[in-house]
Amino acid sequence: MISQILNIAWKEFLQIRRDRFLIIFLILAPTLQLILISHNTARGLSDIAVAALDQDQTALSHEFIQELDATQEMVVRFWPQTHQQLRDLLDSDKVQVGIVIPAGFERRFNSPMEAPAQIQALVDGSNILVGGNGDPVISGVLGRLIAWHVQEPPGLDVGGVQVYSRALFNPSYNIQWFIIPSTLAFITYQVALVLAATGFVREKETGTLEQLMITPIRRLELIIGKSIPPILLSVLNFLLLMAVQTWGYHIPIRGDFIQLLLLAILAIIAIVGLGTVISILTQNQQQAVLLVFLIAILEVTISGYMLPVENMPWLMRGFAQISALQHFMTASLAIIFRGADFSMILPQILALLAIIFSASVIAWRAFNRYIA
Amino acid sequence: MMEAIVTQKLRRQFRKTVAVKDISFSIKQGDIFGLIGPDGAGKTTTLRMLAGVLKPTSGQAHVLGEDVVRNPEALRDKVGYMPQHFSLYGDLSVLENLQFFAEIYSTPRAKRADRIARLLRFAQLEQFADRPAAKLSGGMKKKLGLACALIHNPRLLLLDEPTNGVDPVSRREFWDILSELHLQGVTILITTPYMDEAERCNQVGLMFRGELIEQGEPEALRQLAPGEMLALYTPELARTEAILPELPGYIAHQVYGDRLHIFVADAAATKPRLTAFLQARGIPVQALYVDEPRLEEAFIHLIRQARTETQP
Repeated sequence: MISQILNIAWKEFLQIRRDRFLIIFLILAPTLQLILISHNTARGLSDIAVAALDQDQTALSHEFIQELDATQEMVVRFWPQTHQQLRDLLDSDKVQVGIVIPAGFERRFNSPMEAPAQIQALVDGSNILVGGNGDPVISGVLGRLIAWHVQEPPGLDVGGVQVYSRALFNPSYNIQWFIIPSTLAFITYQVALVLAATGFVREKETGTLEQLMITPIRRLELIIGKSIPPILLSVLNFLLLMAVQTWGYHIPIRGDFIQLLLLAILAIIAIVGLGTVISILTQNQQQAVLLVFLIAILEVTISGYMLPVENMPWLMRGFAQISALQHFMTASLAIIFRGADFSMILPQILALLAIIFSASVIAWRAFNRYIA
Repeated sequence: MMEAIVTQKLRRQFRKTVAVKDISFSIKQGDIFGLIGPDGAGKTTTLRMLAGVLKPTSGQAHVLGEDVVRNPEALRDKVGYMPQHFSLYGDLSVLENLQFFAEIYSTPRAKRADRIARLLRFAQLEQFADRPAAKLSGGMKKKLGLACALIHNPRLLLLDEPTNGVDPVSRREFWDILSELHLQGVTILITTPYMDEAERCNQVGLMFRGELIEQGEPEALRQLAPGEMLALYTPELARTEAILPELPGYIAHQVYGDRLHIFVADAAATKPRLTAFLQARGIPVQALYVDEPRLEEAFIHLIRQARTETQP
């Protein structure tokens, strides 16, 4: 039993070693994908061009603009004199954010007897990243101004309440912290799925599977033996990506790394199981790859990678429960950011075990049918 | 136990197509049995059922005493099977392929190196041991396939068109290996489209449209050609063909390139009459002689017969 499994696994390794394209795919593609996605998403949020129309022209309004310019996210590039000029800058896409500081800003800011000071921010809503993140930046700068300038007014009890929100688990609200570990899980998933999905079907194409079927090797030995290389390679791939994440992007792992690794191995086994089912059910590698593509599209939507599972309609939430990627992503983010341990991600672990079990049964049964 | 293979009403249907139609036959141990027939006759399907990789729709087959339906696993150690298409690992070397199959068949480690060396020598692949299997020539690939099918010293070999697309020299070498195995007492069931190979078997079966229409020694099957045979060379094949049925004693004819094989009741008596018959119609005769019918003529005749029988 063991020697047969190792024999199959060894043969697979020999074949993979000779496949230069596959090796490049395994090392280069995942790393490149992680770096490109992380880098580009990060760039989208820094140095947003801003135009400031300052109708107040006071010390406070100048200070506000300077502070805005000093943030990492925004750079004040233009100082238009009229609303029309501001409008033109926005229309021609020279700036993505326009700020209007109306006359009387400083006066109102300092006087409790007048209507509150106002600032108008025009943001480019067609770019969801600018739209969604421009607002908090401006509010943050305003918050700081308020904190510096407003002393507790004598005789006026405003309760001394100071409201500020703090991003839990991601103190600087860095979008990379969300994007990178999620992307990492997704890439790990893709690599494991493709590797496993092409395994059996390749032997079906070359006819070697038929050759194997008339040898004394058992189906279970064949399934396990052929799964070992994709699992090991996917784990190595995961470690490589983790190194990039930890040392390249300085994202700390709050939880236990060993537990994270065990979780990854469990998830990879589940994904390889799914890939093996695909590989057994399809007739050629093209079908297998197209099916992987289709499933990847589905999983990327239901896994929480693009939108939170909690926000999905109930049917989609149901599908999310059978997605190995969803469980892997949820649990790995929990370990990395919240420092969760196994007891806290037990539901995900049980779900992954259930997926492994179902995939094994389906693979075994589907395999039987091919022979009959 | 004298029979290596016995089938009873073995049948396989793919949806509505009946690939193998209730065939019953047996092969004695130690035979080289050649299964021949046109493409689509059901040869490969038969072989796959006997190898235990395809379940029969109905009927029975016993291979080396084991029931292929109930107990296909029992065959694994005793049967060597070489599917039609080259099915070894192209990216592994010759040696690695052999090692892989040796391990699968649990060849004892002590004997493994020795047996692999012997098979390499046997298949004349010694100097190509490190070459990736995909880079072998067609003939060498077939020999490697055979070597892998032989790694566990099987008592029965099932070979599906092993020499298809192989050059004549390699084919001859391949058959020399088979003859040696035959001498060692290995039973061989081989399918082939080549009639000269069928002549080298000691038993031949003809399959057509899923049925085994004839089985016997090549010598006996040759006698099934209708009547006696005359070989005729003439530059006017088409005209000759058209008027031949008028010849007294004519039974049938077949065209082979620039020559006609004419089957008649009495070849020796017909020969001078045919010469006169053709000359009277202005058809030149380049050569005309009485010839022994080969298996090929017998089979073409049998298949034509089967065709007319099945057509309403």
